Amino acid sequence: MASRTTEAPEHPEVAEDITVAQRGHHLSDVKLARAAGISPRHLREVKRGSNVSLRIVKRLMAALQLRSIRLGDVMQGSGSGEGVSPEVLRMIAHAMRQALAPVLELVEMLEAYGEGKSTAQLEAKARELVRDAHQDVTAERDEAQPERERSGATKTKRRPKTAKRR
Amino acid sequence: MVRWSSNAKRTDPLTDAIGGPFLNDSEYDAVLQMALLPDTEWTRQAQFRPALRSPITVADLIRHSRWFLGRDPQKSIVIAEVAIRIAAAQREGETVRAEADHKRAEAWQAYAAGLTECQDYHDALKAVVTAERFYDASRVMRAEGRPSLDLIRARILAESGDTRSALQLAENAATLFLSLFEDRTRCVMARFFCANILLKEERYQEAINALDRAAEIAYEQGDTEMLAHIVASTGYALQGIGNRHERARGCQEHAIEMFEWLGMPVELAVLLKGV
Repeated sequence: MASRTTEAPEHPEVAEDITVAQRGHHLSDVKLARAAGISPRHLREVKRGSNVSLRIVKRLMAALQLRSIRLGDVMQGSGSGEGVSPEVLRMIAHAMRQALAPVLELVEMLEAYGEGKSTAQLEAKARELVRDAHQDVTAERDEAQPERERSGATKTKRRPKTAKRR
Repeated sequence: MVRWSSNAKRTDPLTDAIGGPFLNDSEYDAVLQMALLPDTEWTRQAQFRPALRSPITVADLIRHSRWFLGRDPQKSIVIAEVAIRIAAAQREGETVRAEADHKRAEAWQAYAAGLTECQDYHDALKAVVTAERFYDASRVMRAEGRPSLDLIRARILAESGDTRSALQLAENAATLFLSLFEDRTRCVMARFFCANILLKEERYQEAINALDRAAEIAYEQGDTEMLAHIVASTGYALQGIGNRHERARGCQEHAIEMFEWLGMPVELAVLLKGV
């Protein structure tokens, strides 16, 4: 059997369209895989022109804002004819992956909850980050104000040091 | 006199097409056919089809036009055009005058929003002025009405470089949403809009101030999506200030986590590009 690396790509058009769009967006493999919510291994398979599930291609298209993608000659057949057809195996693998997809999503969700993530926690942290940024910037501005006053830049009444807001 | 009835709504092909929550391709085609009708034919049909002069049809069309706004603005414009035609055909005796004017204003507002999305600011401004005229005539005040229209005008002003007026309009709209209508969701949107103008202007400290005010309400509302956008913008603002790289990175990483959690790949890709 031919080794994996020497196999001709099965979907070169898909691979090309994804690669070109990725370059257009200046995204690395890791970042694109993360944005699409797929593993980097799957992304490598797509870029190699391998037969991946439609779900993965659609996720990549969404991340890259691709409205359409070339699928190549859909009438062209494949398979070696020696022993079990690789196409049949791929179809089985594809069907299994499709069947497992909801389970895998559930696993991801459970992992997320296991890590202590929840919508409420994400929201609380977001609020905290924005509040901290605001307080930080406000404190710096308030500190800068008496500095300017001491240097005589403005003629307003000086604020005592203890009145600084932090 | 022919009166509008729910039976008539069900039996008309147009209301059949637009009655559902979303428009599929064939349903959109039905709307497009109506948009392509010449005026004389339209007037003739409107005489014996109550759906073509009903405020309910206008409301359905406006709803679809808004749905398409961020997805396919050209479709949004076509749907709004049909809404304008139907709103103009409303009859006294079938619809209260003030409500009819309000519907006409809303239809023009939907049209203005579509044109703004397509960056046709010249025609968008004309549509805004027409909508304002109908709102003034109607004297009915609703959150989705005049203050929302002000936000569209503010966007047009901001795009044409008059950021000062844009900010003032958007800030007034935010205050109105909160004080008069208690519409906190729209208030957050208006404040976020202000923050984005300030970011574009590189007025980072003011932007963070506006973002903090928006975040306060979004958090109370439990608006996760808006909070993700706000924390992402805060990251940009901190990056812009220059000496707060760690805080900026913290905000951006958290925004990435939130977009991942929400399953928003487009926003995620945009954010990852900047990290």
